[in-house]
Amino acid sequence: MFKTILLATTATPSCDDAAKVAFDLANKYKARLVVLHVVGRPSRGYSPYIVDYRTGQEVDADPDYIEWVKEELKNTYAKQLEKAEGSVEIEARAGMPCTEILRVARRETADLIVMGAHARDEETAASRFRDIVGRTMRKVAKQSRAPVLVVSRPCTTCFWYFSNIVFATDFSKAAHSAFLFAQKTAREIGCMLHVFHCVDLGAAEKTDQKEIEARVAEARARIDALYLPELAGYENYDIEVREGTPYVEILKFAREKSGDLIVMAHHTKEVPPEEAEIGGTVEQVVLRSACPVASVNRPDRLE
Amino acid sequence: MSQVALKKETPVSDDGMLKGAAKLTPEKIRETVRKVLDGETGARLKTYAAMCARCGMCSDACHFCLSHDRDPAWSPAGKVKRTIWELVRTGGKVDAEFILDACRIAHTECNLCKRCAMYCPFGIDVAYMMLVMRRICHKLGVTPQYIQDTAHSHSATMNQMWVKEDEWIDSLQWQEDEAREEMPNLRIPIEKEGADIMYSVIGPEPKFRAQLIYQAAVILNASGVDWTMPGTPGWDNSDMCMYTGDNEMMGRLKRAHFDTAVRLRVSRIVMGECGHAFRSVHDMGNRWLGYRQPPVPVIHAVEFYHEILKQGRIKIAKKFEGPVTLHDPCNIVRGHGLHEMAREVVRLTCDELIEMHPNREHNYCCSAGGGVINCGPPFKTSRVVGNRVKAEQLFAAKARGAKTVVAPCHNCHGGLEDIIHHYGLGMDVKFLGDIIYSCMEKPE
Repeated sequence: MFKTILLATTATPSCDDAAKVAFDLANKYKARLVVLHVVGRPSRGYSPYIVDYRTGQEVDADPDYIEWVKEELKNTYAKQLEKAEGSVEIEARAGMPCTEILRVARRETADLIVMGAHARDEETAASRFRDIVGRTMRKVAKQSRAPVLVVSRPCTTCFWYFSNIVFATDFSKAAHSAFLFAQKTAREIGCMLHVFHCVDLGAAEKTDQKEIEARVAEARARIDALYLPELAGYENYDIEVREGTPYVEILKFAREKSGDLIVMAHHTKEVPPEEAEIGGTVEQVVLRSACPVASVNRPDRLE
Repeated sequence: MSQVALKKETPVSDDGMLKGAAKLTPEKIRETVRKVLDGETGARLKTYAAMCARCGMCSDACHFCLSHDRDPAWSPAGKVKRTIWELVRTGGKVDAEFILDACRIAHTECNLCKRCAMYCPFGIDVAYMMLVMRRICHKLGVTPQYIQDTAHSHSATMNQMWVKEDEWIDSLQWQEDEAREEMPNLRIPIEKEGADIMYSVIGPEPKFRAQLIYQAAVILNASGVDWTMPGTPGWDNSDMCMYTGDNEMMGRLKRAHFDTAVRLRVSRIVMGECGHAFRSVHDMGNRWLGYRQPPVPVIHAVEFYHEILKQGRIKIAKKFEGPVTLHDPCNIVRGHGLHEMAREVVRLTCDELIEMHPNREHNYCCSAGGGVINCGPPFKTSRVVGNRVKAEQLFAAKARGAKTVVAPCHNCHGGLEDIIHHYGLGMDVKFLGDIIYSCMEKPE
């Protein structure tokens, strides 16, 4: 199912959960795994000196230093490397993390990028959640051709990779790519696919119940029209429409169904990122979800 | 004449400068200073040195001086007095400590912005004198480490960022792939001989800001011009050697750039939004090479955007929302008078322009230019604190509603971002290209 998986890691404990999922997936699907660590970003004026993300020290990112970082990475992931069944390549580079992750993903034609949600270990207040959903994750998810699997918390349901896939849609073009990925994954594994939409109530108290019911019915009809023809010949799915705050409903639904993979689109090109409803939603889901979240915006790597 | 108060200095912590200075001997200093003063300068420097009337008109021109409450030690004349004048006066009989101090002043406390030259009743060009000082420092091997490393990259690879040839081409193809999703017929034509335009960028674009190449490709394709990018060294128009005083290398870089354009038989070069690169191509490098006219005309991105907007080659679908303010980069404004053109581009693309004061050719520098930002973290604080007036200017524009600062120059971006962050101004910095890309009508 996956030929090449790219694990983009900060090589700190905050990416341990992502690393576990990436190594497990590579073993399960006999994929080649590329482990990429972006060492640090250069200073203003772009000299060869960089500040190493892990140590906070200023270093000259020459080939010797990069080699040394690669050795360190091998130590960090020694246990996983020991158990790895397929080929694992370790790569370290200096630069802007999102640029380098996308560059390497393209070069390796990765069909899945696995990453953590943020680089900080400390607990953070809810008001800052948007900030800690790292800018890197947001940029990569938005621009990547390949599906991006974001793992921000220990996966409590990941025993089978995967048995219950939850696909949440906002009916956009990008969401259709996400659907293709969810459907393909479900078909190949033969697992359950839950197609889900939440009618966003916004200022709920002002909405009349009849109107809510009408909107739920309308969404249901759209799902039938958009996705049912594509699911021809596959029985193992169900469809659910609820109303409320999208990210809360998606999380509740995933928990109810013991979802072990949530698939969503990040945001679409037609809608500016700050206005895209599902953009903010996906970030909230990523932060709180107990299972990995795949952000899929493009169909390129799904063939 | 009374002496200016001596400034208390924090010790230099830059390795490149300290190690270089440790190797100096009085004889070496004297010999090098003489060689440069006698061999490379002439009536111009002598006239400048002889003519200054110590009137102090330049003090109010310098953002460093204004930001330090008009302390004369920070005035342009004060800085010249503590650097090149002393060398002229003594014939180079100074010690290593003096050179270290002079290097710090010339490299990190002057942006070569030439604002003072406009206010001097005699038109004394302080930037020129600071560059002579940097030249002497270069020949003495005393140059801030960060900018010297960048200059090394130029010498070894002919680009600023150690970008290898295949990496360069790969970055272009990558951005072409990305942009084709938005514009299926888009191309980034590499090595197309006989095209009308060669588009050139600075080294950091392929390395760190590949999105800018994407945006430029969309704009160039949508405007329907015949363009190309080179596939060989010579693609990079940036030039840190110009600022370290390595004039020979500056010449080689500019020759490679122009030769590439000649080889591709293009009729002109369009440069991305970079100020220092424009100075190197339009003012300093071409003169070092002795061109009366450069072999291929060069235009800055601001001129190009102006042209395609005026000719209706691209159309603005919806103007950029929210008032913006425009920062005038020294090298294209005092260096080439593009301030009105930049304003026209802003008016054509943005809802509302709120001016900073003073503006146009009187605008304050971002304090990053002239290679100062490239001297790296050891000098960041002095550069940001030394430009309080810019922060005040930005704050005044913000108070009148400006949310976004438009700065058509890479170094200005870095400098303004640091200032905005340090003084907590909370404004966005954008290139004109960012704005045009986001507001233009994109063909399907």
